[in-house]
Amino acid sequence: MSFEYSIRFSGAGGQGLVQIARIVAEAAAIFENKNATESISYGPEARGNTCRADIIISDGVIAYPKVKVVDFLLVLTQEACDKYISELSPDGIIVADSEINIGADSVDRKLITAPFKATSEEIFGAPVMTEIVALGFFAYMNKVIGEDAIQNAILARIPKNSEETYLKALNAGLKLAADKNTSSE
Amino acid sequence: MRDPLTRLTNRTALLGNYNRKYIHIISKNIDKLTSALDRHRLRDQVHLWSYSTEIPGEMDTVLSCASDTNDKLDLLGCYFALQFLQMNLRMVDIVKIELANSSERWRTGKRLMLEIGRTFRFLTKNYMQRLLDIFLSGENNVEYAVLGVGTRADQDDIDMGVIHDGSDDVHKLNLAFGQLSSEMLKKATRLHFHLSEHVGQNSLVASIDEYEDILKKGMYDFVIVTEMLGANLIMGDNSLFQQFKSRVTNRFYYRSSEKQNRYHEGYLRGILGEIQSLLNRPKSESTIAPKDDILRPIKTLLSALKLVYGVDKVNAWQIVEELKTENEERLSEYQTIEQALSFFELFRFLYQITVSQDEDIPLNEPGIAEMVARISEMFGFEQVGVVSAKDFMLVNYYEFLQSSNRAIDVLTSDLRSHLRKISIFRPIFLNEGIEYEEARGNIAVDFIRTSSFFKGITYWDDFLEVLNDDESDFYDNFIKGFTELTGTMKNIIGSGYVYGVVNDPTYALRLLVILGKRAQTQEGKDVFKYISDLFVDRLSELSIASNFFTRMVYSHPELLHSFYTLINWELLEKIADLVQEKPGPPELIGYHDQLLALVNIHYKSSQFFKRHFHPILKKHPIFIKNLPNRKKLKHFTDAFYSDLTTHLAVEKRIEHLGDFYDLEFVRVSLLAMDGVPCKVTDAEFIDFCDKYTVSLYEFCQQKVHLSLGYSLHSHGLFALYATGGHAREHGFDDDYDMIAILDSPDEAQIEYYNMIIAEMNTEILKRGILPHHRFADYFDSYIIPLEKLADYLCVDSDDRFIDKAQILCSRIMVGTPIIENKLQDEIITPLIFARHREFIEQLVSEMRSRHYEEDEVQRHDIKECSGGLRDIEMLLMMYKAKYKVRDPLSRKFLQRLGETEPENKKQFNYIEEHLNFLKNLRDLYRLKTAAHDVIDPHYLLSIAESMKYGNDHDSALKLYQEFLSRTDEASGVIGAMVDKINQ
Repeated sequence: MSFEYSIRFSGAGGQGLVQIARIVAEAAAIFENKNATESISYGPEARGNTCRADIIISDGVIAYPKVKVVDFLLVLTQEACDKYISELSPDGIIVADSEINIGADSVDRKLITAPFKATSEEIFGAPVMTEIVALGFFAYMNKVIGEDAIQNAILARIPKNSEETYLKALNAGLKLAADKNTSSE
Repeated sequence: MRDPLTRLTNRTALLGNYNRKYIHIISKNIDKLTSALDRHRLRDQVHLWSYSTEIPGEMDTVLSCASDTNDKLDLLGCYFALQFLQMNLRMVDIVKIELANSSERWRTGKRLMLEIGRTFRFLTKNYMQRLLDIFLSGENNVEYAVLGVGTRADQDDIDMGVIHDGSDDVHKLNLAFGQLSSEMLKKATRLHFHLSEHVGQNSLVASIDEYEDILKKGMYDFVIVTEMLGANLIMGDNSLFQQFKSRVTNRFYYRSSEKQNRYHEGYLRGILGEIQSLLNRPKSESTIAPKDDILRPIKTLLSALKLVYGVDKVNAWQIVEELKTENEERLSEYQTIEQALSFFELFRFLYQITVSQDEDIPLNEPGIAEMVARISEMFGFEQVGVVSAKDFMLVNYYEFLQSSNRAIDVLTSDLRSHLRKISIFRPIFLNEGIEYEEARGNIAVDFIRTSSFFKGITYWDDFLEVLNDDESDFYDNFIKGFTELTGTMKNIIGSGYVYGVVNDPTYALRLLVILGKRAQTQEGKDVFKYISDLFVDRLSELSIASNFFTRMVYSHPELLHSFYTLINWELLEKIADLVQEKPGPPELIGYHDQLLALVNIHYKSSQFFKRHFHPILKKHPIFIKNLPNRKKLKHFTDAFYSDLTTHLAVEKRIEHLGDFYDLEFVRVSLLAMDGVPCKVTDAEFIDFCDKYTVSLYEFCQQKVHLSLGYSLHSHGLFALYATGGHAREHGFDDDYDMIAILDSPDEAQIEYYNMIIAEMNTEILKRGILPHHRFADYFDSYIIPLEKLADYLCVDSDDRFIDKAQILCSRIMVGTPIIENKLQDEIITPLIFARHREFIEQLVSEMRSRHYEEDEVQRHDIKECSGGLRDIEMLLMMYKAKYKVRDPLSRKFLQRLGETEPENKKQFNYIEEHLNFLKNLRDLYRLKTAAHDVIDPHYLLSIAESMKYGNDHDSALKLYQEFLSRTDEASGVIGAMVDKINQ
């Protein structure tokens, strides 16, 4: 039986969520030969306050790109958390920036928080790489795409001469996840 | 010799990283492809390592060599990847050659972009067609058409919509498009199906009936409509596409024969709102983004204009070409748009093909600047002298941006006029009543119900203009209509007016500012308050208050400021709380400080402060942007002062001088509110105040000269003195005591200087400050002849004693030492210093009588209480008389006294410290609470915060208790010193 895994990256417009969604979709499709689609908020919605980028990964045919129930939800802002948490599947994982207050809705769900923004600020002096740190965390935590595929997809998308910066951010995210994993064991 | 794949890989290194994925696809499949071709002896029939002009035939050849479906997909994907890279490498070579030899860069750019788009579409169309044939495998019975709806040359994604004939059996077709999408993502370019996703029922394909249904239900927005209007047939059934146009998109075109053009109007309103929103977007200081900076506004505008002028084309350049003919009057604007379009599209293409597919170009990021420099050379720019090719290109970038923004302004203005003429609201605006069954004759209701057809629309300028029109009774009818509603209906209709904040809140804010400003009656005020409350509730409910207000402080600071001045304190408090959260979008974060500064000032300042703050921010909204940065404020006000004399008309100079006063008042007040010690703020206050007075005197003299046609020279016989708090170098008084002295009895001169002082008074009053002229009542003239003043002060009486004190404390602002010396020789020395014992006794007696019976009010009076400011002032005056000192009663004087009487130095230091405490408290109370000297302990919280006591009620209480204990103690110290001096 074929599997289907739904991912939603959400936060504010301009936080690079579309970019990381594309990286994940390309990692799955190009570098792991899986079927994938991505669907993003557009127009006024995208320029508004919350922005989402959905990815579905499957080994079967994906007949429709919109996510109905989210298996993996990444939230980078409080607003996005408040808006999308109800769409998380009962077995889903929610990963949130440490600054976010998840609230009572997270009861019975697997919740992980990590300081993506703070890590970016610490390493790069600004929150500019928050989404790539979060992507590194996703690369470690998710069950369907390998870290190598994600790294290759990043290198095939980012501007030239910025490879070192992006890989540093990705590795910081991987480390955050590894530390989290060790501490929860 | 290197193998072809290595050669291709090396050449591809010239291109952006995203081309790597094609190398990956080729590497994985090239052996399989070459073997298959060799097996079928067809290798010489296919261009593998060079650009092909026979793509469809070669794709078929490749497919003919495949053994099964997977093989077909791999071989075809590999061939596509090879041709894709050859295409891009060829394009870069052509661009370099053509632009290097081009005298008109934009014209060449246009031709190249059209060629680039055509080539890319041709390659992808042939690839998709063959993939669909594989996935449908001849089993599809449904007619369909694939429509391209995005930019033709974009390589990062292909936006498309799929329509079908309405058959029930579309499952197979939908699955095929799902497979197509996955396969394209793996080996070519991602597909986006926004249009079908929006319309279809959980499907990538949708029938024309479904499109019609969502339009009828109003479940669409201008983005979807723009995609529909930009659709062209990529492949499939052309008759279906023609049906789609006639049944779906044609309704958006303007038809002069139709009584109503609802769809057309709805789309125009969406587009106009969108253009406003795009152009008001915060511009980054380190990033350029051709798509958002200008391409999106241009294309959005063209999409609307084509509907007005009946243009059927979908390509931006072709639309412009037709508009040049259809709307000849605007030929020059279309030419500007065409040039900008060509420049920006080519620049964006070059960036995307050689650097990254990202839309934002961060010029300060490592490596990016270098890449942009390479693009500028590709673009044909050259270094000239010290100016680099990159800088030349960026200058061109901003020049095109400015010129196209001007053209957009003109063309959107035409669209607005068109909208006014055809709007279904026209009868409402003209008070003719609306011609629908649902109309109630209540403007407030009819407008919102009629506008509900235009979901998500943000353009309501016509409505706001008529609402703000004094000549029209629309506003009165609106208020009357709203007031008549029941409670529930008020909530429904009021919510309707603020519902759209989620799309673009500017409109709601503009509406509220009009309602607030025009609210003269109680009903008007009630309606304003009611809708304002709903507005803030809506923002709060959506958790977007901080984003919204930050965006507004960037794009419409004056509007936001106006709104804050109109709302009541409770709502302001609520907003102050909501905006503490940092805004989400990164481009807004830099403006959040401005917002907090603005809100805090509104929330935590007195009317005394706002008297200067409100008018100056209304006139110079740029000041808002600098509010958080006190240094920048100082630069701004310095520049403003230096610029005064560049105005030729004296009236203008005077007006700007007044602005300078208000700006400086606000700046120094903000320093005080920050907790900067009063000895610093007093010095800054007196500095600008003196500058103001001296310049005002000069400009008023020029004005009098112009009105009389002559001027008089005083020969050093005129002087203008400050007295009272201003003379003591204390800031933030609300009156301005002056003495104007002329050493001449000449009536003509007195009249002349009286005219100047009268002009000055008028201007000072405009600042909300009361000019007081000591002795003016007695002499019936602002100008006091020195001789008469001496006669007047010779007389001994209680009131003359106070007047002498005023003279002793005065400080010259305008005039020369000649008159100052005479004042000292003829009045101060003989009448005060020579009789200092008597003068001191009078001061002591005055001080004691003031405190004879101190009530609760006086106990809380910072100035008049025992140990208050007045006591310190009188004590220092006694010392002035004792030591025959003419210096102002400043802190410097206190320090001098410490040196003169070292045995009392400790007490003088104590007095200075106490003076600073009282002065800080008084200044802050005036700036943050009210311009009263009597403090109310309940309003000390924010003052305690500024004075670093803390920000809770205990801190306020601590400050209050300290005021009481300090003044008690000071009263004793001052009393002892007075006793000593009076011995």
